[in-house]
Amino acid sequence: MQQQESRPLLSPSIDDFLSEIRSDAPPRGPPISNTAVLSTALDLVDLSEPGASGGVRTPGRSPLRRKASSRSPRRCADPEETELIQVEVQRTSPRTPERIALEQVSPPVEGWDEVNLDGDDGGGKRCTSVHSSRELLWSAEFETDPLTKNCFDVQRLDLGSTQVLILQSTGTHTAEYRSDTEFWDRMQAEWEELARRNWLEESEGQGPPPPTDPPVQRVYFFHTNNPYRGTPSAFTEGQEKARGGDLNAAVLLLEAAILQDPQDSEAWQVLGMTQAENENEQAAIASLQRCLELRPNNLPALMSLAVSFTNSGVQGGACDALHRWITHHPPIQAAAAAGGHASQGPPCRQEVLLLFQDAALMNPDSVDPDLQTGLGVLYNLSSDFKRAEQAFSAALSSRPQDYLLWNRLGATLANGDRSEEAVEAYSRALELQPGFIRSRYNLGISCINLGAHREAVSNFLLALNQQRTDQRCSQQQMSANIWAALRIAVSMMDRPELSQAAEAGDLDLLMRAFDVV
Amino acid sequence: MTSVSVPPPKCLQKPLVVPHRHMFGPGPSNVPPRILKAGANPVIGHMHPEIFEIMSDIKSGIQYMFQTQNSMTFAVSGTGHTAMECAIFNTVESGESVLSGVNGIWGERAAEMAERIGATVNTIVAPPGGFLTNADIEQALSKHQPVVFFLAHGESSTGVLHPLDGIGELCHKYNCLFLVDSVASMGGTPLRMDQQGIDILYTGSQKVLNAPPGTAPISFSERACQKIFSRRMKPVSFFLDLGWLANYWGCDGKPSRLYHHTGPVTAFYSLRESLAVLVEEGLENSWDRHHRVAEYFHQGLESMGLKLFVKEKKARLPTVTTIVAPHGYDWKEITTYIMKTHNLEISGGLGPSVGLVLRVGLMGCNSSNDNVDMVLAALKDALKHCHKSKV
Repeated sequence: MQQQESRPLLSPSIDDFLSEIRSDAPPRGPPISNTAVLSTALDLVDLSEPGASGGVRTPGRSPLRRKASSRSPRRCADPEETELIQVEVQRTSPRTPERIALEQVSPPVEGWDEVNLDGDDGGGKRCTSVHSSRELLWSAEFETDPLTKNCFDVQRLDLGSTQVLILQSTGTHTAEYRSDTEFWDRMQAEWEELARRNWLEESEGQGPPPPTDPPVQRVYFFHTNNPYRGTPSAFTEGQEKARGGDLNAAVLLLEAAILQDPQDSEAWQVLGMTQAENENEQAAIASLQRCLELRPNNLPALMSLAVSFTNSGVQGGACDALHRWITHHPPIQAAAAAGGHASQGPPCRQEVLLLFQDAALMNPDSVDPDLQTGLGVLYNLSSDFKRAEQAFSAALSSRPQDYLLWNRLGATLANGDRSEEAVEAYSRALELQPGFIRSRYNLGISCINLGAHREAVSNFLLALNQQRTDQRCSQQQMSANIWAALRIAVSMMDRPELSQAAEAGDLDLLMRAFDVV
Repeated sequence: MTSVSVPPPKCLQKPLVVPHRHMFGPGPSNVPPRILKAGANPVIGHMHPEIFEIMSDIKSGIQYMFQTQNSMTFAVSGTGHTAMECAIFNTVESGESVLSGVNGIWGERAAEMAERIGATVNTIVAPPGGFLTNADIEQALSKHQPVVFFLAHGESSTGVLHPLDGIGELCHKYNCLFLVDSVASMGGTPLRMDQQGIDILYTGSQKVLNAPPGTAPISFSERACQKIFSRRMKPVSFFLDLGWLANYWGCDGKPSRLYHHTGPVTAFYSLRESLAVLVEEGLENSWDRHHRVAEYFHQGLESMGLKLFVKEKKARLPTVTTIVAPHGYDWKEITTYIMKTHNLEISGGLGPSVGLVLRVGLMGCNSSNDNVDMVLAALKDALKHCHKSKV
């Protein structure tokens, strides 16, 4: 295969970032011809302008252009391409020495700094997430699962000898320095291989999907300005905050704990589960994977990871996690030891299901809620919603205060087109845990299903507002999924000015319009 | 006498039932009654004078549609793939170098075909949603010195319309033939074979032309013919041998036509009629209409909060629109739901765009604002019903 200067895909955020850099610089060569944007499974901080169309952009549209009101959030559009959107970040200095991870030695950053320091009125609020966005994109791993056939949302940059530090975590992961070309060669090679393998396949009419390899390790991206960083007993506090439903604070505290001790597998576990509750799937997956690297048989992490993979459509990963879970579940472990049965190759869903069913049969009189949860997840994977509902209901009979289970039940009902019942389940979950962002998101979706668009929008706005509110940390992250769903709900109301506001990410305007306090 | 051991199949003892549905995928498109009726005409001999006349009409129609004066213009018996093979098997000899521009599935297929006949194949790759620059192309031409350069004008797997200007010249500069696949684009967007220096151009009957699949208009330039008729070896395929086909279609100027193969006469009727429809509307009007309807469609999509896969407007194929699969949905559920509930076919991604896009084709008679409204309503309904919830 001949490899030319093919232009990989443009990400709105990195493109905007670049156009910001380039607005004063002389034009760089021929305009980039690629214009498509692929949605990815990656956490990307998106900085694109409202309604930005990415691709070849006209200079002067600054992602950092500020609105008149310094209180309103910076406009961030296209969050559906990303999982995280950073808003209103307090800028310290271009290169804070104590910022563990982020270091850039690149002209574009300087260019960005220049623009940044152009001064403005009150607040001095800038988005340091520009730095992180570049790193996020450049270090982003991508799913090489041929089943999902994901491509990636990056851009080939001709930035000379740009060095980019990829943040993984301190200590345990080695910081990877990659040059522009080295990174792109790797991307290109992998992409071409993917293309070579995949381009002759049709999507329709395929037989059963081939078994997939466990997914690639994702990267976790830390907040850059974590006010809790030096906090002692950050983990304990983080756990408390999580239990109390203050998910934002919990995430920050847990991240702080990890920065202090990157080998703390429990912290990674709790962080992962908290991020899932916070409707931040990719971050959840990354954390849980990291936890499992440190402690391979952490059962809660395995179950949680299986759920996240199920939500992301990564069947292979979900089955693998559930297989690992069940083979370390005490009753099965004993049976396996006695029977001496060994599995060959990656487990398929059928195999894993059998193991779970067998395990349930071992104690037909008592309900093992975790086992039932696993069953529920497996049935969700095969869209057998009736059985999944039974499994989660059984689990709930044993743990009626478990808000996670209520949400799982609700989602199962919703995916099985029983939206009204789903709403009931979500309401129970939210009663038990008002800060449960994921459940509120799901509730909004069921409202859409039921045609209750206004209620849907209110729920999404509430969730987003909860995510954005935190006095201590000026760096707030809102879930891209929620923004995407919000936009769809708003677009169904035939109010173009509100659609525009949704497109623009204007949370305050929308909250006022819908009377959400 | 032994009786037959394989019993008559029960399935053929029931009447044929075919549903009516809106074919808004990437093809085939709906066939309007006038063209269906034409195909219902009685079958006559594939070498009867009346058929030759119809074939001559078809030829003229294709010359108009392609905007070419090439006499080597006819319709291959088969579909777009047949034309692709016809083009490649005739122009390329074993051991020669072929360059394929790959920005979707079709370039990959052309490369595969060329490989099978023993050519040395190189590809230049652009990612899904993108296209190649002339600089890229020139570099590759210069490096590989191919005899043929393949490019898909309408890349229906990604929704990209590839710019063609200047490429013909580049190819000729490097002594290379320019082969263009316009199956998804012909009739829906400007394409001028002679003016753009295209040496071999082909399309399919079942897209903008709204004829049933079964014939593939194709044309070869002087330059292409020169290379073809000075081959060292015969083409591997007898069925696709240009010498034979040219004779059957009366392109070789010889007084008598020899029997080569049985032309699909019914398909000729419908192709002829579909070309007549195009002539009546006017080629430029057809181009214009497709562009306007696509614009209307894209606006509608964006107002629903959906994103178009191809960002650059001028690179969007008006006949096949690719939509970024919306976040929070399983694209397959959307297409299934729409088929079940609205009796309307739209497609998912193909090849490199699998899982990433939805594809909607509005071609020929299907390209209308009313149909756009229908598709938008169906999508809106699907968005309402198919959002995945998080376990």
